[in-house]
Amino acid sequence: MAFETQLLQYVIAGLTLGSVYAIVALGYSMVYNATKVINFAQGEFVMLGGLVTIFLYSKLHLPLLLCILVTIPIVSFIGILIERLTIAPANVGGQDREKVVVILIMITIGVSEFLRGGAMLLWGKDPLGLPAFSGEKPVVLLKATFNPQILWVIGITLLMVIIIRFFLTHTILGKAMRGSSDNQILARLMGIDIKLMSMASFALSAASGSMGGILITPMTLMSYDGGLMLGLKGFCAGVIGGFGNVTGAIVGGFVLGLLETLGAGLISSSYKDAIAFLTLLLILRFKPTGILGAKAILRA
Amino acid sequence: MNRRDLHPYRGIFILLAITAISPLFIRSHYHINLMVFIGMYTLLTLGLTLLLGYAGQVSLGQAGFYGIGAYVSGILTVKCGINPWLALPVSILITSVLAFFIGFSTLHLKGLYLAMATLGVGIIFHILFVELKNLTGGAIGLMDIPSLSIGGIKLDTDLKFYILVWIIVLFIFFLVTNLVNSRVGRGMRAIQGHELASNCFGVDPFKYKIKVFVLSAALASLSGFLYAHYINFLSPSVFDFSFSILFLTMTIVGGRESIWGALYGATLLTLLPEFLRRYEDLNVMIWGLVLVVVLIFFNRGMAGGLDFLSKWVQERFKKKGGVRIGT
Amino acid sequence: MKKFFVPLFVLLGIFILVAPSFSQTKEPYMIGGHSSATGPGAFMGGPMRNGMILGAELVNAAGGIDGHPIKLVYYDDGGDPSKAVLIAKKLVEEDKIVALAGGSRSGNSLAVVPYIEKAEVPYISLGAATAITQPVKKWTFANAHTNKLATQKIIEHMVKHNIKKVGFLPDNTAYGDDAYKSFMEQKPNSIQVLVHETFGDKDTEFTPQLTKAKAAGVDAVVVWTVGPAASIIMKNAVMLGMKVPFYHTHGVAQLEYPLLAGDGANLMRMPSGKLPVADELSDKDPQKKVLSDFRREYVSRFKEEASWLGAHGTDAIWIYAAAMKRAGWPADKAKIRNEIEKTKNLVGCNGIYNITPTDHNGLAYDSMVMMKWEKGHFALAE
Repeated sequence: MAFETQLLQYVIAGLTLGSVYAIVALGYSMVYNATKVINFAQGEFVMLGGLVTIFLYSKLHLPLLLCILVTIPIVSFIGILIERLTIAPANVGGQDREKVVVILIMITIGVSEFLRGGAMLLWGKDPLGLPAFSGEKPVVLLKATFNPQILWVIGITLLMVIIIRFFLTHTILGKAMRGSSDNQILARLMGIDIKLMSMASFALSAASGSMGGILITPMTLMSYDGGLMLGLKGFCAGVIGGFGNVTGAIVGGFVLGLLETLGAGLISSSYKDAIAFLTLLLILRFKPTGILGAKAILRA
Repeated sequence: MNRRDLHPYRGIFILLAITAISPLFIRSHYHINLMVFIGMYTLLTLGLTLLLGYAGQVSLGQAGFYGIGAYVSGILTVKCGINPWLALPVSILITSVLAFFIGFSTLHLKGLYLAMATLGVGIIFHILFVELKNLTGGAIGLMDIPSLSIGGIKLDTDLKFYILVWIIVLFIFFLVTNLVNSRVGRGMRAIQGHELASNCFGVDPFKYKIKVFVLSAALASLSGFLYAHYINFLSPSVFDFSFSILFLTMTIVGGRESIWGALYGATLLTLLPEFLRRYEDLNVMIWGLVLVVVLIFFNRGMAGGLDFLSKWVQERFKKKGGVRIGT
Repeated sequence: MKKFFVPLFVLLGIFILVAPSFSQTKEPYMIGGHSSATGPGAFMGGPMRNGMILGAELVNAAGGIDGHPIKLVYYDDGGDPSKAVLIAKKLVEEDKIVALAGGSRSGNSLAVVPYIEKAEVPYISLGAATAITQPVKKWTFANAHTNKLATQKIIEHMVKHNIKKVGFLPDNTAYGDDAYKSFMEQKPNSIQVLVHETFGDKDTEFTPQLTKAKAAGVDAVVVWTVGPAASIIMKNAVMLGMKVPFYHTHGVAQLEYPLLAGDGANLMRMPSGKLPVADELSDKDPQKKVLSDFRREYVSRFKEEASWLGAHGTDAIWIYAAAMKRAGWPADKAKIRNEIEKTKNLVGCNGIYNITPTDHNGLAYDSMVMMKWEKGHFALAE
């Protein structure tokens, strides 16, 4: 196999992984933008997207498209439930946001464990799968071959990013969401319903996360703990690209994915995760707000 | 020295009494083992409590420093035959230097950058523990780590180790109490209150934060050292990200405004899985639920809760015109 | 009339309440069990627990050990080696067990070993790491097919099929590492490992590692992991157009792996105990009946696939039951241990056990067969 072909394989694999990381990073961004909370249960939305679809498809035998259309609202609803039941009550108004944020982050960690434990009981501990959207015949590109599902993953991810970006910058609701995190008091004065913003951001991030899960499950299978690593790496992708920045989420995702596969292919597969996290550290050292982020705010 | 001077140490005396008396009633190795772990986890959590409570920063890599402390000592004693007590300062030194670099690079920034950096660092350390097979034994683990000896007495039983661990914990609490009540401590609390103002008073937040972070890493490595020579076996899986999360959870559940929060958090979250064990597969879900509920309703943690409780009791007695309790 | 019936009913009532104590069985043998039913590796720990439970129930249903039932006390160690040690202490000191079985993850077993040796309690580990029984420790046994045995089987098959260039892809856990070592120690010079790449057992993308193997032109690939990665790797391989045989670990001899591997299942080969192909065995094989019975009992009791994981746990209990019977009552840990070392021709699910003071594993080379996946089920591979 020629070296160029090998390289192309690594790149394709990297873009695939990158799309998934990007989706997760996107979810983090949206919640962070609206509430300044880092929702560590983000990976679990991806997991639920995959598993709920599997349930509808394998147990209720619904057609695949219908399963997808039903799963996304279900997981979005779970996202809203989480926000209402755990974030909102803990959010004691008036307290300094920064101090509360740490507690809120811990709560999301508790929620992610709860969701994982619940998924383990409902779906068991074994991995489960979904059929590929358009068959299993490998696609050939310049002598490199890849899974056709990858086209769905990358394609729909980019589509979601474009839609969400448009939503956040060109619609009233989206702009309100961005405004509400910067200064809650001012936002309220402007007539923005903080509660709604918070719920909406969770719903959106759950929806996009679950779509991600549905997209990758045909390729990578899904189990109750599939969200763990994704949540972590997605978080890194977000930091690399610029936390809270929607385009940054995509850039960060692809950068992380490519680093991982190129690192595995060209340097060492044992250390591929180390390479990815090392990049994170370098970014933090030299441009902490990420590739597309604003300038870092130095303390006094 | 009158009662006033000993007042800040009252917690330590109570703890001393509890830990000294317990072994008289509790004989099984299983329970002593549990209490040894509570001790070690208290040290780990204490570092995070100081970091969070006094520097307002979160570390997501505590398990990494825990591991460095354990592996450095493990490797030096197993591969180089060095006496563990000599390996200890080396362990702590290496960890502190690493922590210094990390803190230096990120603590001048506003925001959760230290958290992100420690996340990456913790995971990288874990990967190194797994991949540097010739040094660490890799995923299979490092075996036959010697036990500690003091003056010819080998600390190879649970009870003997229990005594060592709790003496160390009490001593550390003594040191930290001094620190917290000193000029340095007041400086740190000032930073917590308002950074800009404290800067005007000549308190340099950056320097203090680095010091606290290095201290938290050092405590973690001390705990790692103890772990290695207690279990006599090291496996990288004990130093992965999920443990960093566990220690942070202990910090927050225990309450970050008081150093005793570390003890409460470590105690609750070490004993809780033992109670949950009977629920078998349900226990993961219940753990998550307990966490969320405690955090929502007790957002100052257990220490905050106890504080609230004691104030409430005092109020009731005051109303009845009784004797005031405590200070 | 009333005067007659009331005392009768009262007597009947007393009799019913007291009756259970008439059927009071003899005192039980306390056996402790631990595995990782939650946490990493949970998909293995659960079935192993079930196997141990089934083993105890089957022994008890057959009258126990000279009338004494087995009481299995099981705790989940959550995949944490420190917890495993804690549980071992609890079982030995609080629950007063006379024998321990478990440790689905090798790291957990290895952590328990120092304590169990000191406590002088027999321990049958369910882990596969060679380090558990080599060097031999007095109280520790392991009834798994070791990686050493499995890789030996693979090498034999490779030599038979003239395979010379190999790509070895172990995961980054103790399991994978141990297998790589065993393979390298046992392979003949005719086999060359051209590519050695690791991966994380929770990874979802294996194209880089496979690309390297494909580029090197290997005749076969060895993949050593349990968990979803084993299936995903096969899907990746198919996408890359690879057609060489993929040798897996004996841990993958479970229906779900080939079923989830799509077209890649046809490339899979794995050494295994005889359970999945029990129907293909000759009637003269002493294991055939044991395996069929086990499969029937396990499926009806737990409503899930009777895989080697369950068999593993059941075998451990059977080894103990046989040794305990020979050692007699009251249960004496040292006597039981001695009797385990005298286990001869015990027909279990993993194989026929012959344990000696120098071999604390007891399984011979012929306890394994090489399997492939054909037309939707496991079959013997020629």
